[in-house]
Amino acid sequence: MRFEQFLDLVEHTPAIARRPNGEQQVCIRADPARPTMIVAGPGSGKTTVLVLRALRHMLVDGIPPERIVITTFTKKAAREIRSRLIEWGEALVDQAAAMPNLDAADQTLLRHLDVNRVVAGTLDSICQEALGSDRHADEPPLVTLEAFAANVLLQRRGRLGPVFNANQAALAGFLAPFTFDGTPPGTVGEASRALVPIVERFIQDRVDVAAFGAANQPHAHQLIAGIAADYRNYLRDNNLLDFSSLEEAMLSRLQARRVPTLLADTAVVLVDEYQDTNALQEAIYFELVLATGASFTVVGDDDQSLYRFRGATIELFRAFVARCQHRLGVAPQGPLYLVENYRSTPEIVDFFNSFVREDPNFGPARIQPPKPVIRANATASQMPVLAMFRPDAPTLANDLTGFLSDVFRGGGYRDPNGRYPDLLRRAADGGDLGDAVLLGFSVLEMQRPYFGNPPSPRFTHHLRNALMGRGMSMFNPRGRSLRDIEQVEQLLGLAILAIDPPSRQGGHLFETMTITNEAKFFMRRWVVAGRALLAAGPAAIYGRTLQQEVGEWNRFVLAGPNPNPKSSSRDWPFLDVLYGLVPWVPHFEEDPEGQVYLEAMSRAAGQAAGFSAYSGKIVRPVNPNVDDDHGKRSILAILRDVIAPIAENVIDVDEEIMPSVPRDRLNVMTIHQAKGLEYPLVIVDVGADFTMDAPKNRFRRFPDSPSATAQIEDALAPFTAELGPLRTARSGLDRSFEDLIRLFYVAFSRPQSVLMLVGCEKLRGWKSKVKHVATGWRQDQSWAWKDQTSYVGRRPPPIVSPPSIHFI
Amino acid sequence: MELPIKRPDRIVPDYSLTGDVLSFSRCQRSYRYYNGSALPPSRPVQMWYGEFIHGMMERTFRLWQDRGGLPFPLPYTPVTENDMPGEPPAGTDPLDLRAIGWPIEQALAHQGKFARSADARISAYERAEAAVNQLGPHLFPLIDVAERKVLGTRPLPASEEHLAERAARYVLQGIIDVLGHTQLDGQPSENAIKCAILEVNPHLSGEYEIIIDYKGSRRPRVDNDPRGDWKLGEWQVQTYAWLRSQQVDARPVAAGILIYVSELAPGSKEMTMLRTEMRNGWTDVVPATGTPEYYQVSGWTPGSQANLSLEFRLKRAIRVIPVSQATMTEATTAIDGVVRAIEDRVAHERQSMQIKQSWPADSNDDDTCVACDFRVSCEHYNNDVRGT
Repeated sequence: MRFEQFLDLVEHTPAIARRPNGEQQVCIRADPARPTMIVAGPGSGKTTVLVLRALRHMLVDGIPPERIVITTFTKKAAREIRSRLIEWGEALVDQAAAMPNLDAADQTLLRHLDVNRVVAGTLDSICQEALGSDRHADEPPLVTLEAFAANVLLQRRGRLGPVFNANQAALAGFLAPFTFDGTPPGTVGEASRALVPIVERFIQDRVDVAAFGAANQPHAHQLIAGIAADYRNYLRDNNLLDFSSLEEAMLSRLQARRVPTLLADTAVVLVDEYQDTNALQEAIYFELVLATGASFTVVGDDDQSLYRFRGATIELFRAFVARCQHRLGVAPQGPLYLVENYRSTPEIVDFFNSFVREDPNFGPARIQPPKPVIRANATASQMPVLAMFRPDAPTLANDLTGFLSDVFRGGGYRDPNGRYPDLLRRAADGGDLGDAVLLGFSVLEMQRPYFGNPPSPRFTHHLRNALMGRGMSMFNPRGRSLRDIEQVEQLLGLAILAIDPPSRQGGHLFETMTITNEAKFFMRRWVVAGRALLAAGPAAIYGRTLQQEVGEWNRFVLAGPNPNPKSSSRDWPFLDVLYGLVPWVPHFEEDPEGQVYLEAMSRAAGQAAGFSAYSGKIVRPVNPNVDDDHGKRSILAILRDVIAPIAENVIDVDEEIMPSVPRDRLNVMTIHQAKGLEYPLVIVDVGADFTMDAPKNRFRRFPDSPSATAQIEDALAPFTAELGPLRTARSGLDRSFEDLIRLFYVAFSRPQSVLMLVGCEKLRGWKSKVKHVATGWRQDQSWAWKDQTSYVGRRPPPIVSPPSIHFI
Repeated sequence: MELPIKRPDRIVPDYSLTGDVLSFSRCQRSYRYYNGSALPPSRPVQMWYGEFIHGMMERTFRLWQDRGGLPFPLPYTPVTENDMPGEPPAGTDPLDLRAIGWPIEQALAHQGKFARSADARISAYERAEAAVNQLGPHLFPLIDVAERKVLGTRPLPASEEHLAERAARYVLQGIIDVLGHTQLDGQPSENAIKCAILEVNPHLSGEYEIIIDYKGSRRPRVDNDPRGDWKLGEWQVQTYAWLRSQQVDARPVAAGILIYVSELAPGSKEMTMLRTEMRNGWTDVVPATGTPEYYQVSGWTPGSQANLSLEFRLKRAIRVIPVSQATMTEATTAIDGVVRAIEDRVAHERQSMQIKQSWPADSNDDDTCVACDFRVSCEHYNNDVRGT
């Protein structure tokens, strides 16, 4: 099939029914013999181009789908690409098979073409499949550890505890810049949190660890290199891999030209979201292309790189042309640009175009020359960018709820000042709150608690209550830490009361343990919640009461009198305890959102079975009051390895297991989560909680020092010969500003029809000291919104009003 | 301005034959919890056993392949009640099944999967030993393609519930071993698997392939229940054959084989069930009347030692299922129906946001219910299973 025929086919296939635009055609047509770099602006049909380029390889170049590899950054994005590939590919094949003038060769090709056979996924998932299915007979099965288990093993097998306790001053001082708030870690748990990204980067950034930990380096370096070595040795001796070492194993295979069977015949490599690639992944792609001679296409957008904190290295994309030439010996085509936006109204496109060009210091951080401005494909909507700023978060929540109620529950919202003529209302045929999303840097509903002070509510918490007051609700699975969810508190409280009852001689075991105060604080709170539920005497379930269930576990762990059904077994998995209590907290069995939380808790318990003493089981005691009794020790292991980590907030929820998000709830998500998504109405929180210029929240709006991630990069730069100079070409502070600008650029480019900014009125004051990148502040402390505010007379107005925004 | 409706996500769902189709057929509610939400079972003993047996067969085959054969029977230092799971003693022959099995046990343990008890571990090793030493010499020389991932795309049948679809197609996948005609032709006629194939299909000739899959369980009761193990096993193999036929390098699939590993080393439970099924005419492979096997089975009392001949055990273990275009179509249509039902439940939950209402507890297997972590509040378990 010729390329023109392919384009005709695309246009005439009902499932697609459009011809790619000129710039898309250039990208799809680009010569496969040379590497290709595509820079795709938001809403410009990046997935369309990627999928059509893959289909072109199959239909025009005659490459079998199993020889095409497509990688992307998240599992969700991989699923979307694969789904689009199948839906479009199958439809194209059907359409082509019906073409009257198809030659015999094409007919044969089409008969055997199953686009589903493309190797598509995240790089990790492809490495896992390729290495897992391609072992030598003497190689044992590989087990890839989830992050939680890997981090626990780093602590234990890296001997972090004893090393930290013996060298606290040196280690804590070194790790201080990398902690959440820049203070030295005071506990092993806190040290571990700061250390994990460094140890991961040893591999991801391809750090010369021997040089980092050499005798002439600071003592902390040597300690950390030692911890990392012990951890890696343990993994190797036990045939375990974490995600970094999984990719490292793939690189070693490729470098040795032992390409795993799954990838051995690769003819095409298409990489999506290349701007979030790290150095190790870049090396894998180059080696794969060198080993197989595959055609190589990368797609990305430097302005949308969000994952520096996970090791993403935007600088690799920015320097792709030179790096490709150096490694592959071929100058790539490109950058080819996709800048026609099919998502948003011209008003929104103008807004985010201006935003990304506002700060002159951001210019050098972009691909040079920067990509042309994004052009809106749609006609003007007459709907300006809206903004709602109020004196405080409760007022803002209340007024925003009123707005949403007008749009989605009432007759529509009309600007009281009549500045735009039209009503803003939901779609008549089924529009609902699910057509809107609230995005923020953080969507946590409560601020972190300080000891002695209860956690204070944030804007999203007020919004939840305000919505509830108007008969609406929101879906915000990341809004509360697992440990703060009411039902989680009840269930874990009951679980503690069941296996660690206060009636034990000496009281609760957890009170005597050397775990963090933070863990104890939450465990105590859960016990109160569990006790309250127990005291309320919830209804019996098929004749069985909650008191019975908890009582039987108490008798088991304290070697109480029989008959006791729990005595039938010598040991019980802790999961049995958890699942056995779930019926009295029905949210977990009945509500899909409850399942998200139950999955996180049971995942913690299930993973503990792999590394914890007693394999995550509670054992029948002989003498429950003796310290070396296995029953007692098994409970201590559960408390330390399952319950304390949830209390310390190290277990993340995975809302992707939820098959669908309810249409009648307002979606609330972080900007990171919103990457790649689009919504008709997007509300961006640009500082609803910023009532003053508090230093502790500057990193979220206008950093005064490099972020923890930038500081890790700087600390490792001298030991990453290739990457270091590339990264440190811009200062740590510059990179921290860049990351914020990109974050809000992503947020502002999500909406289809309406963009609305919400924030605290303080951010708008003419003399405001609450600087925020998202409200137009430049790194040099000048303020675009102020510059754009015109006024008559000598006295400036009390608040700024840039003309590109309509404040309501 | 009227806001558009958010474009629904188009996701082509992925279904695995064993993980999804068989689990959903067993019980819709438990499928939702264990597969939909990926909740780990508190006691993944079935998973452990199935994956251990599979791992042993796979690893031994790889060794056989790498070394150009193995000295069957491989040695086996029996696991005893006092042996804790752990590395076999120093000096153990690397081909001893304990040495082959340990890395598999270790990998499973890292995933939180353990044998239920010392007895269960002993029994698993005994069955693996039987599978490797009694079946391996017949099976390994016939394998042409091992551990091949097969997948195919199928249109989703229209829903009778008229709920919004997330896609018009679905993906079906599995992992199979394939026996080749060249390998079969090269084997002597005493090869038990070749015999079983030729018995069902005496005129087999030309280029063809046979699909093979292992079940940790016993040979199920013969019936036509679409949710029963007999029928589901048949559909599974037929669907694997269809998936294989979609591959470029495939030759026509002549038959599928299921190996029921428990039959190679039957325990008390297997013998008791065989006696019942033989008496009632519920099973297709029974000893001929009057043979020692016949008396052993019909007079079986729990607690005695089974001593069935290898020939009879192999017959019970090997089930050959002829494959044709018509049988593949029948099976894939049945699988389409199961996937359709799952998709209807997904759509129902999307609308109702209620799990129990969307996914009925409808297990057809009391053993599944007894092992289910969600039985305490389950209406089916409490009303129909408990106390029966």
